[in-house]
Amino acid sequence: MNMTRLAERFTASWPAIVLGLALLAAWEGLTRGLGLPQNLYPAPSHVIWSLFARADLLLAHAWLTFYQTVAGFLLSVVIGILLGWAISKWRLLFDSLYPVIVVLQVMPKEALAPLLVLWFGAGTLSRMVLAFLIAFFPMVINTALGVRGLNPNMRSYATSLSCSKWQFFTKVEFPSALTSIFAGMKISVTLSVIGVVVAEIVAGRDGLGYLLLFASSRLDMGFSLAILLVLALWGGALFAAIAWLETRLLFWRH
Amino acid sequence: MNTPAVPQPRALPNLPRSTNARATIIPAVVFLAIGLAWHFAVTLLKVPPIVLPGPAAVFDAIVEQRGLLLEAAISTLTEIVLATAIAVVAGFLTALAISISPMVRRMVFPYILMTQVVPKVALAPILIAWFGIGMQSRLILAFLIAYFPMVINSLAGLLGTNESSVRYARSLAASELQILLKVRFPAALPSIMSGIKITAGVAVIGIVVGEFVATDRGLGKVIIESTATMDTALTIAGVVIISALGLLVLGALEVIERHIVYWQPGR
Repeated sequence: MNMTRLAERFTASWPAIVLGLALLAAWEGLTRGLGLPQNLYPAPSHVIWSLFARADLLLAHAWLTFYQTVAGFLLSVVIGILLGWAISKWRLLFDSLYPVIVVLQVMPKEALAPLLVLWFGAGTLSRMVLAFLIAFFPMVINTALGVRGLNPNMRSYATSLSCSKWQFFTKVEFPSALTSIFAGMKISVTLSVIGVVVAEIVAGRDGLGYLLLFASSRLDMGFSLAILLVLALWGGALFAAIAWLETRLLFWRH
Repeated sequence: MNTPAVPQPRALPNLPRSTNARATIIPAVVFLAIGLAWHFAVTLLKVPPIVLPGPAAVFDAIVEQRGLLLEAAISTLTEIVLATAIAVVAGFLTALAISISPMVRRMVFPYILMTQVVPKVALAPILIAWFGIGMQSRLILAFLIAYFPMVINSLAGLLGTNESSVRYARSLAASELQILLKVRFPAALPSIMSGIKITAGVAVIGIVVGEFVATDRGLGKVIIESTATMDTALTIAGVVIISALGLLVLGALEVIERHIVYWQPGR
């Protein structure tokens, strides 16, 4: 990105930056000025202090949460794309599975957390399964939307050029479905963080969700908010990674 | 402004559906087959009921514990409806303010988009430390989860009005209030309705996760406590009922939508 675009982006976003800084300053001034107990109502500076003061503890738990979200997400992407593709190719499969998928999509999968802990233990597996279950349905639905949304003119055009089935798949069908698949991945990656955190909160021995519950129960709110900040940054980083990959792979859209 | 680039979780897409008898018979057969497979897998493989009770045992648990479940369901449903209503009103008013003032939009909207990637369920322990184990914490959690999708959807609707209809109304000497009420609001309604559906769907999650952590009442409490006593049939009964409540709320909104947005094609 060159300097002029950077400058443009800054002029476009300065009201937001000003508001954010003003709110942080007000929060800092209010908690310090009123002399509120820092453990219960921490100032932003105290939150940042907690972040660095307990960095080693934070990292040890963050690592677990990070790899479980990625594992659950990747699982949902692979299986979601395969199933989404299958249901959009076979009419009978679509007619029989789509209503089931819709019902499961509406169901609050987070409610399954205690049951998954009972079945798979309070460790890594139950968290990955919950992350997978939550993140999986947007992948299926978006893949199906992408495959079915192919412009019919493109199909006839490709047929008129007598391209093979494989060429049709790699050059026409898959690239055209990718747009919708990426939209699904952006939803799923956020949901997989939610899945892991819910499972860690409900039955945790480790991970950021557990650490958050532990810190909150000791009324160490500075550390609690620091953990929340790490989770927010992690969610943002995953989303940004998918968005970056999208601009690289779908270069023709830009 | 175009529709925001940030995804909307749990929106139900309008995939092409089969309209003939196929569309009702096949799903019925599939759901029946799933139930039978569950029943026979449990009985033939002799799965211990602590691990997975059959559908009959779950049904028995619902009948046996109907008093407990009904009381919990009423409490959960009340909180879902309350949280949804608050989030819908607050979200719509925020969107209205943002749509009227470009300055407010530039100040607030980036943050509203950013909240979409934050796992807001992680607020549950923090809210309980601040507000205690009660309805208040759960309502705030569900509100914080449900509010932002409502803002984004309402705003997309309010800013997506066809500007030529606005100019036409202006040429008829319509006041700004009239334009808002008679042009912008009706045009935004489909988007607002889908916002309300998403809001209700995620409010369910907020309330249930809240009940898992602040276990003073509700279906989440029944689910958590029954796993502690290894009463798995009751756990599954709780999950089934919370899912049914979710479907009930969305079904009701779907009916309302069909009456309100009757002019929208394909609905």
